[in-house]
Amino acid sequence: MRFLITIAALLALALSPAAAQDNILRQKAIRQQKAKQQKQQQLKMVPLPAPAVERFLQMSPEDRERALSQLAPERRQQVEQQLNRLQQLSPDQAQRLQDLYPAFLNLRPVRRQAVREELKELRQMRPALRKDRLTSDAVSFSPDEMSILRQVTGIPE
Amino acid sequence: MTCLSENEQGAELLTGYLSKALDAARMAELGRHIQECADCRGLASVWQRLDEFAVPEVSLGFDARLYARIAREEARIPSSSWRRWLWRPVAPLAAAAAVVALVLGFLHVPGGPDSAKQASNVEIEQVAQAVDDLDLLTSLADTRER
Repeated sequence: MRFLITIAALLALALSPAAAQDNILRQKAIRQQKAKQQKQQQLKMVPLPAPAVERFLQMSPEDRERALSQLAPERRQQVEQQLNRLQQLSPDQAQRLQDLYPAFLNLRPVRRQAVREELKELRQMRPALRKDRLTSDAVSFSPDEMSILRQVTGIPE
Repeated sequence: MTCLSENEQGAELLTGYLSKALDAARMAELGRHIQECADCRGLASVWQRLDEFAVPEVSLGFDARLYARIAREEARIPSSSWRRWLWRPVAPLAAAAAVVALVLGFLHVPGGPDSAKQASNVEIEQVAQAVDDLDLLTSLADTRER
């Protein structure tokens, strides 16, 4: 009987307003800790090399929403997914992008388009087949363009 | 082979040729034709030069400022019919003013007190294209590391 009374007392204590308040405070502390970690992670992130994208990411959520609403729903979804992927890049990947993107932008528009198309083709291929494709690409692409294709695919010369 | 200017798909062929996107046989055929035909050679050279023209990056909120300027100009145009008639000869002048406005738009450096407001007008299409490219340049690296 005494045992049952003890359990009932413990339960009453656990369910008391003080315990509930304690629980809320603990959860709040966990949330704050998570937010702090996220902020620290963002600070550690290498910025993206595209100023327009960086400006977009620094906009308030309301402004960002307003800007995204100008896109067609499918396009918006695609952009949001891509942004999400970009924000999750490892520091190494982000650093690699810092070198690659300016080199890509330096290409003439027609050549940039050709590199885009080639990357899309390479993307569809199995990694094992990409090397052969790159070997044949050397005829159609300049050394600078080949350097970009090789860096993106991770296949050295 | 028919000349590019007479071919319905001339523009596509020329773009494909300049970006080396055509198949080898087409590339060779068009290459030979361009060497032999002065008209097509001239056309190819103009396209090449246009392609090499580096377009300056549009400043932040350029479109928004341009439309605001156009709206202001439109608001200034008198509404009565005789005044509207008077405006007609001034059309070339207005066109020139629009060009000047465009140049000013390019030269305007963002910043100052309303820069926060301008930030909300970031050209989303410009952002979307950059995001596409960044994603394309990283996606294979992701595959490689998986």
